[in-house]
Amino acid sequence: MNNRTKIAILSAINNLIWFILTFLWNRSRVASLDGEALGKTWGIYFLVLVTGFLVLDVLSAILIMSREKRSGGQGFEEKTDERDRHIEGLAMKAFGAVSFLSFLVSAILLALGLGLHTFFCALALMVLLSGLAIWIAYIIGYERGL
Amino acid sequence: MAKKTRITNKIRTLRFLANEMTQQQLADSVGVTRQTILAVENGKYSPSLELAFAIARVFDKSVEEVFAFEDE
Repeated sequence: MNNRTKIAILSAINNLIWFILTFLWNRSRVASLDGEALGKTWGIYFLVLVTGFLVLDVLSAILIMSREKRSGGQGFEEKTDERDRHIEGLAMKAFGAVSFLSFLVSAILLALGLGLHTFFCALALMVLLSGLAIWIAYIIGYERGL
Repeated sequence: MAKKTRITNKIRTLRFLANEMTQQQLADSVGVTRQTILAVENGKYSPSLELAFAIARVFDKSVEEVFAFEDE
């Protein structure tokens, strides 16, 4: 299995676990809030969520590439080529499409009058799905082929 | 299940005939990773024209002698 596939799988799992943990943590914090306090609490949640995703993605890459280096591979010096760039392009397209659709759904939920809680929950899900779209595109690109 | 491209190739045979050249040696010659050569050989990636010409040049063949487009 390609190293980038391993990183994508590990990152996807990490992101999913981080999302569930932070979502449960945040749910109890926002339960009784309203107005500006609700927005501020969700804002902090999004910062924690996205920062966690970035840190976990970097740690996943470090872990996999360190293992690769120990087993005699190129490790962090592994070069990229046209196929990698092609797959990265696919991943960015998937990210853009999922982000756009998710944001649209979030806005529709808000417009339907389902409330700020539902809107922020949908936005949080959007962040998760957009991140997962990148990793799934990597897995498909490297394992199934282009 | 891997998605096969409609581009077939004879890279594996040509490597064998070229003193059993390894995938890594071919990859180094054309400036890509071994994983990309593996994907091209297995029909999981259609190389760019530039890469196809570079691979053909390593074996001193024309592109048509290395790659073929499968009709449906």
